[in-house]
Amino acid sequence: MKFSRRDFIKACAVSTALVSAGCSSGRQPVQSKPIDPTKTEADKWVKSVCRYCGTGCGVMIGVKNGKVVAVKGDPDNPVNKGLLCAKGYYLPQIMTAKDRITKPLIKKDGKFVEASWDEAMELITQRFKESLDQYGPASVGFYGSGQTSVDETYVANKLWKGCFGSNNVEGNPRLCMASAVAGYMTTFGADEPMGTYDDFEHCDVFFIIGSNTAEAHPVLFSRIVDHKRKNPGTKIIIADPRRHRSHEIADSAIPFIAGTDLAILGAMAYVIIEEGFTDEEFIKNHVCFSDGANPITWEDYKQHIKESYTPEFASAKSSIPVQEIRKLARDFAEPGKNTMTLWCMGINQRVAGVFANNMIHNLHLITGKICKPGSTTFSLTGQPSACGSVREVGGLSHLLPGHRLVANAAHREQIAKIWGTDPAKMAPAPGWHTMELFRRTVTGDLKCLWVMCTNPAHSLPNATFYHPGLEQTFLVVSETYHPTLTSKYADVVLPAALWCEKEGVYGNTERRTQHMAKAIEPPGEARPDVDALIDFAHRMGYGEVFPYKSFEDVWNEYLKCTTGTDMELASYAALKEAHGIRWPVKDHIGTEGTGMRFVAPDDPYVKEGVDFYARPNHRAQVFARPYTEPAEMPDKEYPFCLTTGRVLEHWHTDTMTGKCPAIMKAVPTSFAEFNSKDATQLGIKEGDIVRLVSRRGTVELPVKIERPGIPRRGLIFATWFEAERLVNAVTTDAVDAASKEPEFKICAVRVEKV
Amino acid sequence: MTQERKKSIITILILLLFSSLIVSACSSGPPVPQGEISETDLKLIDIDGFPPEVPHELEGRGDCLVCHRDGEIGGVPKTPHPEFTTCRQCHVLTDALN
Repeated sequence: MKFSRRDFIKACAVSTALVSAGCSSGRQPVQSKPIDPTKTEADKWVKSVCRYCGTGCGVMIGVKNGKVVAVKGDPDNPVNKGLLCAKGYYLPQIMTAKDRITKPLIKKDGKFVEASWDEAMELITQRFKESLDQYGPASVGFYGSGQTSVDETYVANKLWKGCFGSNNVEGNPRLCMASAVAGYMTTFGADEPMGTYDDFEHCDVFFIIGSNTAEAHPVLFSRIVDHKRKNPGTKIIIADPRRHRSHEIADSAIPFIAGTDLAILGAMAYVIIEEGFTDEEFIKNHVCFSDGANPITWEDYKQHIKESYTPEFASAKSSIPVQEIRKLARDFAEPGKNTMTLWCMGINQRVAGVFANNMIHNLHLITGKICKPGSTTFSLTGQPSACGSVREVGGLSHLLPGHRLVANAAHREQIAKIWGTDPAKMAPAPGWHTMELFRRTVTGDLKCLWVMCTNPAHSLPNATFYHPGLEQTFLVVSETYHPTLTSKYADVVLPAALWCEKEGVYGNTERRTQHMAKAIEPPGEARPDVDALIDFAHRMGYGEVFPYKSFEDVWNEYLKCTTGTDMELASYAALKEAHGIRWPVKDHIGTEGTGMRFVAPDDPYVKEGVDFYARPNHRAQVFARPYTEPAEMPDKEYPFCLTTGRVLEHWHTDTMTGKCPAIMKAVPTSFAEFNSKDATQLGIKEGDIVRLVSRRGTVELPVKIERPGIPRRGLIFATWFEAERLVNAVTTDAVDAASKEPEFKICAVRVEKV
Repeated sequence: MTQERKKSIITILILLLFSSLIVSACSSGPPVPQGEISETDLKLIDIDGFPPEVPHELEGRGDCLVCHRDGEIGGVPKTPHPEFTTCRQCHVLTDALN
């Protein structure tokens, strides 16, 4: 039974009448909460950035007696204009959690014992030296995070790639953003979105696919809501197999069968071409075509779409009626309107993730809905500095700082020169990508691994398969809380300073680089990760090239890596002053940096009009991509599709949000959400415990029926934040052939009643 | 039980809830200043730490502002910032999933 909003309003109307009758005068509405400025009056307020998602909200941190007592949205930061989400407000509570680790730990006879920093660092140094001597550079790895500060990944990258000669440097953005990177790289020749959040306020049509923006990027969603409120004609189209909170403002929904989105995207191109919505002028001037291996013509591409993606084919695959697919394409391509596509993990975490990214870019390129205010392709990022600290710093096995490649000899020379290291020491071949890196812990090829600021034993797909590997590898985990699923397997745990306990820089989704001042001291013997890394470099015998005395020293060296590149960054002094600066940054650009990339006059590298200068022929590539299905679709034995995702309240493996009592009260456990018809058929009801079984593992979860979202029939949605209910024991580690990003979003399961 | 009967029962429950609120609203403390609060004032509110939690189930009540915009229905708390409509961005439920 549903008690709808209408029923409620009816009830309220009756109640209101009664209120008037029963209480005729003197009653005043009650304020939601009285303001008591003395309660959290701070000694000082420090400008910073939220610790959570890739939105990069500016915050002001209230400090009193050396403690964080309040966090509020920074009204002067153009990203969030003073807004925050619940996670941001509760940030003070993550600082003082009981399981903060404040001393180094060394595992002895299977038990952790407290140790001095010197003892811990000496042990790490000895084990890494032994491994390098006996097994060579590839035997030592680093696994970082989109939550580290820029300087931390920069130093680790330099030590491993420049000094050890190991390209086995990876980070968790491989699990979330790699397909977006490969999409931008292949289509535009350069990583990261060309648009900015400013485009939201110019957009007429939002096409949101594979993103629950309301819960994963709440403040950005609020900006969209606000824009629609002021411009009621704004259309919001949400393509998703699950109806979720973002649908509250949707004008139309496309609830396709999970895993069939390439058919929808291809058929949109079909309708756009057939019904004449293409922008021939833009195509003539700025676009070229490829089949993935060789150049093709516009006519070839049209032929490919005609043969591969008829609306009838897409309808049969996706269950969306042909007329709705046609309407979707018409809404997307409506002449005179500005259209933005927003996407997130539903597109990226797929074995066809790069193809899907390319096909989104295709739609914008053939309609010319790009490089104009409000018209752009905008990939949303999950972590606060996946862009700044990993994509830009080059913290993946194939990258070097400033969007350079390890496989490029000239790039290696350039970087070695800045680093002061021997270019001959650098390996020319990319290292192991994340899933391969962890597989090599299982095979025993990787001997030593340093994990920083992330929790792979919890967050890897098919996680339990990799646990024995983590157990047998010499594992250093620098973390803030202990134990986590990962630090459990550590040989050494290093206590890391958290967020505002150190100075740092984060880079958000819209190319905005933001400085974070240090606000308080870390507890006990906790230190910034970068201190531990520099200490380690000195002990390993590379002190000469790690002479840094301050954050500014590291930043100034990193800055040299970006000078003259398409992602030139701002100076330390400028960053400290500003509320973030968007790259590329040139002297004549104002304090906010570059707005629209590839477009004059915003982009300092473009003289006139639009120029995709990162591509050799200055043209963006439209790719003819074949229809590709997920690695594992439901079948007789495993008849349901499982997809994982977020709720607004929790973040990643809940190491932080799990410390906030109000959040834990709101969402205490992970859950599996079912369509009511599936639940009836399975004979399960709200609150039951079910076991989800895949070819890889099992997890037991409490059942929710059509709340908080409504998955379409055949789809189960599960949150994955809880360590005790390890949903990633079930997910698949099949990866995209190009981006090596795993397909978290789709695997086949069966349901057993417990 | 038919759907209509269930709806009637919930309606009655809401009426009972409001009736109890009327009693407390009529007898309670001094009036609180009213009127729209600008974005500048929001800064002050935010200093006070955490946004108030939602102490009731949401079932069938997706739009918080139906009741909380004016706070005139049964004396429910009135939002100081009705211009923000995505309430659960900041206000978490105390009992959302139980």
